[in-house]
Amino acid sequence: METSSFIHPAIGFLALAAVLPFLRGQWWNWLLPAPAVLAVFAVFTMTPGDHLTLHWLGQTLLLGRVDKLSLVFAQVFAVMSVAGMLYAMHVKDRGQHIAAALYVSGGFGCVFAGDYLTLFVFWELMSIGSTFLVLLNRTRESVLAGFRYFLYHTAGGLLLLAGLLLRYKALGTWEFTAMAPSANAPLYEWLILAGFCVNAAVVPLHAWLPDAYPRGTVTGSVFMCAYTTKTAVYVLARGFAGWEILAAAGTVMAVYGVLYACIENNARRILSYHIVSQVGYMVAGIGVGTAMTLNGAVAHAYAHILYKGLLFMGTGCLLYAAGTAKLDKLGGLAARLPWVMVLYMVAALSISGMPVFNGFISKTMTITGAAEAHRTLVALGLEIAAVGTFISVGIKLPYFAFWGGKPTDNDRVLAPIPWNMYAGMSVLAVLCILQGVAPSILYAYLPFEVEHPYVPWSVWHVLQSLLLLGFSGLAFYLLRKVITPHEGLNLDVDIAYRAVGTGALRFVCRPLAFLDDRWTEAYRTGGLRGLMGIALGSVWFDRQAIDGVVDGSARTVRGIGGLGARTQNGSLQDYLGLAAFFALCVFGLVWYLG
Amino acid sequence: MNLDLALLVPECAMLLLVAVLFVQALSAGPASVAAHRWLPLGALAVTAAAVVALPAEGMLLWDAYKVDGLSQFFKLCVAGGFCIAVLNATRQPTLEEGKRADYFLFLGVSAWGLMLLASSAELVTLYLALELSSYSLYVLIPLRGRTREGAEAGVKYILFGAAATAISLYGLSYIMAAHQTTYIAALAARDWSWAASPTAVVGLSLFLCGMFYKLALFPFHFWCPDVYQGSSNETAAYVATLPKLGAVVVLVRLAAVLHPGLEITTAIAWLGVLSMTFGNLCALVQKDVKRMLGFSSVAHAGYVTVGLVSGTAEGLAAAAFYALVYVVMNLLCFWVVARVAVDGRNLVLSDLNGLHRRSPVLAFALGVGAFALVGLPPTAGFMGKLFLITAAWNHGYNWLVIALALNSAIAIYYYLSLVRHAYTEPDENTSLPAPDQSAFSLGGAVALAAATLVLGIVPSPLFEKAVQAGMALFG
Amino acid sequence: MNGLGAFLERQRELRGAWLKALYGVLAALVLLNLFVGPHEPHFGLDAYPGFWALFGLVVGVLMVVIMKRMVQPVIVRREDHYGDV
Repeated sequence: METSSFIHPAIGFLALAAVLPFLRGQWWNWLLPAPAVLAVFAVFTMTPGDHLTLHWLGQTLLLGRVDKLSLVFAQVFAVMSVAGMLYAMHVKDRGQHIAAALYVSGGFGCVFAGDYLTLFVFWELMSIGSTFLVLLNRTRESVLAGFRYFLYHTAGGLLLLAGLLLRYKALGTWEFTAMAPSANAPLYEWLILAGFCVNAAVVPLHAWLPDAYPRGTVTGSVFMCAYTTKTAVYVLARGFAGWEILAAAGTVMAVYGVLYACIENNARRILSYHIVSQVGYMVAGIGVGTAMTLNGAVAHAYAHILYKGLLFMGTGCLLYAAGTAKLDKLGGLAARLPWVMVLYMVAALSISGMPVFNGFISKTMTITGAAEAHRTLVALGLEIAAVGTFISVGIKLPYFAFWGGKPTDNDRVLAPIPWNMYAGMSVLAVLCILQGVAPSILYAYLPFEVEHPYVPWSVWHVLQSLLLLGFSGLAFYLLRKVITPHEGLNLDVDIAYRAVGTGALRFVCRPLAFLDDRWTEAYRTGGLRGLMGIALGSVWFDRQAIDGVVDGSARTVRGIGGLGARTQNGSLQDYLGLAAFFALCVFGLVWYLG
Repeated sequence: MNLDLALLVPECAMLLLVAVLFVQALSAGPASVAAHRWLPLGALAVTAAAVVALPAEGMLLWDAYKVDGLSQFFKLCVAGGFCIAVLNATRQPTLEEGKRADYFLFLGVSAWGLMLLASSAELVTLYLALELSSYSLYVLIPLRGRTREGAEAGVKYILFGAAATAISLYGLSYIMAAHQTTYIAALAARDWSWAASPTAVVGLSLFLCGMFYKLALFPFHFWCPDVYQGSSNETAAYVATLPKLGAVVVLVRLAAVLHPGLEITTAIAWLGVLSMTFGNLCALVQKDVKRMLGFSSVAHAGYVTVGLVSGTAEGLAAAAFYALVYVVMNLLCFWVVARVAVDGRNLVLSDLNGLHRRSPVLAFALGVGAFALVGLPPTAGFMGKLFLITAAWNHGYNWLVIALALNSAIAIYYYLSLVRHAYTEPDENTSLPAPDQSAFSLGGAVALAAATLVLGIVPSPLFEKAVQAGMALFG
Repeated sequence: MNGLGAFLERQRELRGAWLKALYGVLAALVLLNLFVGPHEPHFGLDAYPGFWALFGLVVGVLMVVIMKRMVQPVIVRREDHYGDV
């Protein structure tokens, strides 16, 4: 029987965040991958079970629920953190690293949380960490975006909080378990679902994602693309597997995301809409709820973290080197940034589902599972999304970023890309290829048991993927002039939130501020003077009346003391006499009266 | 006969110290090492011996000498107090050079007598030990240059002491007549009510007068302020502290006899309340610092009786603990006084003016000592009073506890006047030379102040020991 | 520009050849589809050869045309529409 072992992977990151402000010198950058390596080690050595039970204020909290589902997510989080920290090693701004470390530890905490309280704490920690990853970009655009992001996520967190508190009141437990899908689910389950869906960027709650992620720091967005949404996928998989509404929502998300991605201009915004789309696959898989689709959702999450991270790293390199991520401003860079292009294409082909890369072994599982469960519309929607994915991320983005029909741009000044960024990208690229070629290394960790295992490498699957992708590529080629990106902002559902915000400001905040000003005036003229008057009266009373009594009594006591001290007159006979006299008095009185 | 030397380690160590001092006093010449150089180390060794001997248990010398938790606790306190008093007395401006060894010799004999007193389980042994410790002190009081005050104080101490101990012996004879035994263990089993044996009650009351004289309890306190004022600062430091320990340990042993409700106990309670009140009232008008501390000793003696009359193990432990913290607090105050009065004079309150500027460390230490004597948290004085109050409440003497609280309030005035003079009064021209600011002086002040605060914050280890000792008495 | 960059630069000139290769591969895949089919068709229709090819082409074209030509003109605004750029 092996001893149970559990090191919470968040510990290393929390320690890094605590220690980093105090380190001096140049060498601390090398420390950054350490907690990530520790996390990988922890994940691979931990034993399943319930660890780290805390008793706090009369509640039992479970910080270390390790089972197959949490283990697979923790594994990919750990691997991603290594690549992400490597990628971010060159950044001199400690604040970004601290924010990233807190953020990642929040992700780990959520994955291992066995109860809603712990989940909520780490959920909010993630929210704060990621807000700073946006804010620390330090441009006006990013600061405003970060502010909106934080407001929105706080609102989502409040939905979650309301749900979990109502649930505690109804059920009396904080335990985080699966909730059975039903038409009359109680209100708290819907609230919790809503809170989770905010983080999962379910349409129509998704607008924060394309608003904030393109405006984060170069390295921060890499972290953000992996953790917030995938943690949401994990909690949905844990709590809401089989909920019908998720199947519909997921399909909508998948198609909606690629539709917007086709018309966007900013490379990172395209990728952000793609997150919505890909997470849609996962949410649909969770909604359908069979073992194969759930496994598909988990496998897709795993693969997605790897290739999405690589995609953001690639576009991050473009942003870092060229200073912009806008496709209409880029082009003609393939020859000058060849490795960035190659590594980007690895991820692009992965996300599209090209055989040999890991998207192929994960996406198709979900679609097949949905079809086998006779959810034709879901499968159809996901296939449409696959076409759109390849067109926008697989071809459009790299084409216009690296070629764009322009000759090689030798005049543009490119900042040299540090080695660690290439290293981070290479780690992920290798893993993408490795998983694609040997899918069992991923499948071994999938949590749900299927009747017959999914075999991706069959002739038909390869052929179907190649057909689909090949002809989508042909479509792109034919329409390459139509799809050329132009500068512009595409309106999304965030017009609704902004309207709520401006409306609240105009109809609630300003009138209240006006009333508050009037009240303060009244306070100052009327209330304050009255208060001072009372104070003066009290002082007079204290000085004349109370002090008089107290001082008088003190003087009296001292006077009595003076009288008593007269007995000490220095003459020994008097002393002996008085001693005998008083002793006899006391003893006598006690003996005869006592 | 049962003379097991292993049980007598602290006494033997002390006796060895005294013997060396004796030889040195007789043969003092220019080649010998001055007593005040090696004595602190010797005293430290005796304290270490007392620590080692803490768990010793046994009866010696035909059951007249009892070694138990209580006696070892007190021996440790005496050894520690002796060590600090010796350190204090190593710088004594009013003592002639040639008399140093004698001075320390008698100091040592007195401390040795107190150790014997702690273990006395039989009244005659107790009396002998008492006399031994008192006589050595009688010699020390006049050793203050060639001043008249010293001589006057010495005479008062001797004569008052002689009278008190004579009455004590008289009372002892009554006890022997009434109960035919002088062993405390046997006496505890006898009936002590007025109705059953008035002779014994009178005898015990008279016997206790000797103890009360040592403790400076009203009305046997009249020597106290005069003797403190007359003797040198360093001698007063010893006289003010260690003999009280001896008196308290005897009273604690005898408290096994004093059940609440008995006339004896009520008498002691009345003496206690009169003592506290009288002492505090008289101290209010004093200007001389040592005289004020003398009257405060009278008040504190009253506080100690609160624990004695409660009749429970916690009460006795509280009394023992209070005696110990009283010794520490007083040694602190006297240390500061001795260091401020570098020429050995008697300090008056106005001599303390501006001390916070002349020596901030000493002023702070004095402040800590003053607050501790008042009984403010987080000092040891507060803890001591807290233990006394909680132990004595609801055991039939609630009026005494209330009196303790009221008296603490009255006492605030004169203790804080020490602080007031040190911190707020303007420093007009005084003929007093600058206080001693050496590492020795400041280090000692800080150490004692730290001890006061530590005992106030973490009293449990010592208090638990005292409670165990107390329970052994009852059990 | 390093070796890979130079290689890519050269391939731009061979653009035509690459395009021909692409067409060839696509044709071969369609041909293969005549012989290899799914054992469990998802929609029923996809058992037919060439279905997925048509699906990819049609869906792709429709998506791009509808979004870029019809939807975007309606929803596009200036970059600075909300005032936070």
